[in-house]
Amino acid sequence: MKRIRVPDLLKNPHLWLIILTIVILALKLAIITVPWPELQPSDCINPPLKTECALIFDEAHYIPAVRKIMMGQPANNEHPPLSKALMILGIIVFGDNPIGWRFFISLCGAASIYILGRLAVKLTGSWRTGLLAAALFAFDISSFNLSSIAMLDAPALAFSLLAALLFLQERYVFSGLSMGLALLCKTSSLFILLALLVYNLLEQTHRYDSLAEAFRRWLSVTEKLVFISLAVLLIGLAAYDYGVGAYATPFEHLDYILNYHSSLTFKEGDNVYMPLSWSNPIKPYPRMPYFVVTVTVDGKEYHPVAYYGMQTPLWWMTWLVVAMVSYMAYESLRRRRFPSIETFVLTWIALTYFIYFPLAHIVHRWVYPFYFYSTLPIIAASLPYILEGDRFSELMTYVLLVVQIAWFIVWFPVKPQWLIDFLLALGAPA
Amino acid sequence: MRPVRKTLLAAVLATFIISYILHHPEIHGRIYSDIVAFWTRPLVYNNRIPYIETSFEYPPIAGLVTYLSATIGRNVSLYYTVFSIFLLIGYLVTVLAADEIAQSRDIKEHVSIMFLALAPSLYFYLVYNFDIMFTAFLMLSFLYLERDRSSLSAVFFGLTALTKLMNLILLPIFLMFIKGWRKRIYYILTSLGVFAVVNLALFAVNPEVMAETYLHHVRWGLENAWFIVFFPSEDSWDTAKLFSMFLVGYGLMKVYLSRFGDLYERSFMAFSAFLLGTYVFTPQMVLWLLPFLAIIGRFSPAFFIMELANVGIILTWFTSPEPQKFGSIPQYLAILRAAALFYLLIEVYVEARRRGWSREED
Repeated sequence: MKRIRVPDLLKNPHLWLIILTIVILALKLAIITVPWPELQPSDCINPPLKTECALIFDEAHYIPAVRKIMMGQPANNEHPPLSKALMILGIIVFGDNPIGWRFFISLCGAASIYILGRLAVKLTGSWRTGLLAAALFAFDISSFNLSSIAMLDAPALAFSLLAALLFLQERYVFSGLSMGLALLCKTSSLFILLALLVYNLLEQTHRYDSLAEAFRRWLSVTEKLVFISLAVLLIGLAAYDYGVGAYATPFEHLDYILNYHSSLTFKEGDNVYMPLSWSNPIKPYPRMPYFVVTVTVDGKEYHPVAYYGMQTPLWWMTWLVVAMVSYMAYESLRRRRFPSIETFVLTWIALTYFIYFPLAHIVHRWVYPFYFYSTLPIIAASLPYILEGDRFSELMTYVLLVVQIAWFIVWFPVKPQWLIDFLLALGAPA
Repeated sequence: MRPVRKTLLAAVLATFIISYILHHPEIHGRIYSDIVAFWTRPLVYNNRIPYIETSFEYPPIAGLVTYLSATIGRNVSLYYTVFSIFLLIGYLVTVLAADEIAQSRDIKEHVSIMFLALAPSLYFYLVYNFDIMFTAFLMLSFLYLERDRSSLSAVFFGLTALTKLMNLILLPIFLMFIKGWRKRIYYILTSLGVFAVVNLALFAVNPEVMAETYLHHVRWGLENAWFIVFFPSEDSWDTAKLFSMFLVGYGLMKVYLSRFGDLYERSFMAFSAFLLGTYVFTPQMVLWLLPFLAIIGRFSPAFFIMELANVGIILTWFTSPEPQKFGSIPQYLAILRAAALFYLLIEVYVEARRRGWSREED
């Protein structure tokens, strides 16, 4: 039997990806209890909800809803139930406290990092790219925050990324299953499903001279992906509707979801952070406090607990990625080669980010910067890919990663006193 | 004339007379017909010019037939009779054209009689709406395409769309069977040109015509759509329409991209896919399918189930307090009809595929 030596093991990039995932999960679990509620769960069901309920950001919607669902009442029907079911599972296992609410969401958040690494490897064929992509995304503080609290987005993204990975592996049935679970977490996962379908269509049209044959192949993939994911969504909705007596059929539930989200429009004078402000480093949207505790000692102000939604260096790279990837796609097409990676990246960005421009500017649909969470993985995967080739570019990737980690440390949501003291000594925000 | 064709025509006339009597406005206990219902509208009762003096929710040839019937027949009985004569002409054209195509494909002659004269839907939905005129123009466009006179075929295709729009979904299938891009483009321009010229003329006179005629149906709710089972509440019908669009789009794409089936099988499949996906599947629309079944020449028990369910819709409609709602007898019959039609569709596809494969093996 061949002995595995420790130095060989450390050269294994897969192991590093797992280590990175575990480190991030450990960080999430280390702060999962902060903030801890001072009120009983029964006092934190109906608004107005007090700060002592210890609900971060939109947890104020989901945790009361989860409690109502556990009492057999329909609640928060405008969103499908799977993410909330994960919160319920957590509450059953760990009790109705922050550990219960956030455990499985945090697990999904960490899993996204691992899956993204694998996805980037599958996409580019490079483990270096995979590891860098995972690291850039793992140390994105906004993504870290969003995927550490009881919100719908982390499970939705984890299942979407898994669906994308399985899709690239041409395991369409499993991809459809995973995409169905993503839809069952959050309906906006539909945009990622559409991105995969558009990508596949473009790929097929390039592969086959006959347009009919290309469409035929595309339809065959689409059937597997769409029908299976829809079936999962409908079965999940039906189970929820039957359980709490919400709707007569899952289709009527979908109708409510659709109508609800169509009605979320803003009017003149409303304070909306338009999609360009999510990625524009020159005129960014302001840092959004999700849950902030302020302490003043000897005239010095600091925040031992501070969950923010904010831009990070990775977000600033969006337009660079779009420009570079577009140029690379153009170059590939000029050489009559299908720009597979570039097409995948551009369709993903188009369907998860650009789609919000017409929705916000034309339809006046409310949009929020945290929607960018589903775009970030692909930006993280693209950067090391486009900066690959010469030493200077590769160095820039590592510099960006260092800056991203520094940003992560500075804005880490629950800081130990030594970190606060260190940051204050440096004159950095703490 | 072949003896069998004489039998066919005799059966056709008998069917027409039965349908004429069943819906006659002067007969007590008559069965509902749209054309009799038109009588009380200003369009017919006050003999207004459709699209110009009053709105009409059907395309121009339908409006013309209605206007002529109202002009010639100044009482309900005469109006009904004149209208019926137009429909009889349409019926005869449908039968003769379909039979001729069927005979050219060596389909047994009794099949034509079965589908074109003895189908129960003919009794109940012939003197009813414009569908038989729609099939007449459509069959002529098929017939002339068979005879390699594509210009004339394109003109009739345009006239079909001027009677009821739905033949437009067959245009991609027609184009697949026309050789050469130049001929295809010519076919598109001619057929759509005929349709566009008439509509643009009406639009010039009354700009509201497009909304009043074509968008009218968009505002309808679900009518005899099988998926009412998923959307029992009327409040959810806007989403049901989206679902319908998805179904129709998917169904048509499957048909267009299928490697199997001849012109008639594909057309039958396209119409079936449309009818199974659309949110308004009125019972008279089954008449669209009959000529294709005669041409394809395939008997199936599912056909009889579909026919009985289809006829049952009108026979139970007025006995149900809310016939358009889920849970009423007509809606259960509509679901049964859809199941039977789906079975027929699959049968035709499987047969076409089997034949396609055996040809590939040869």
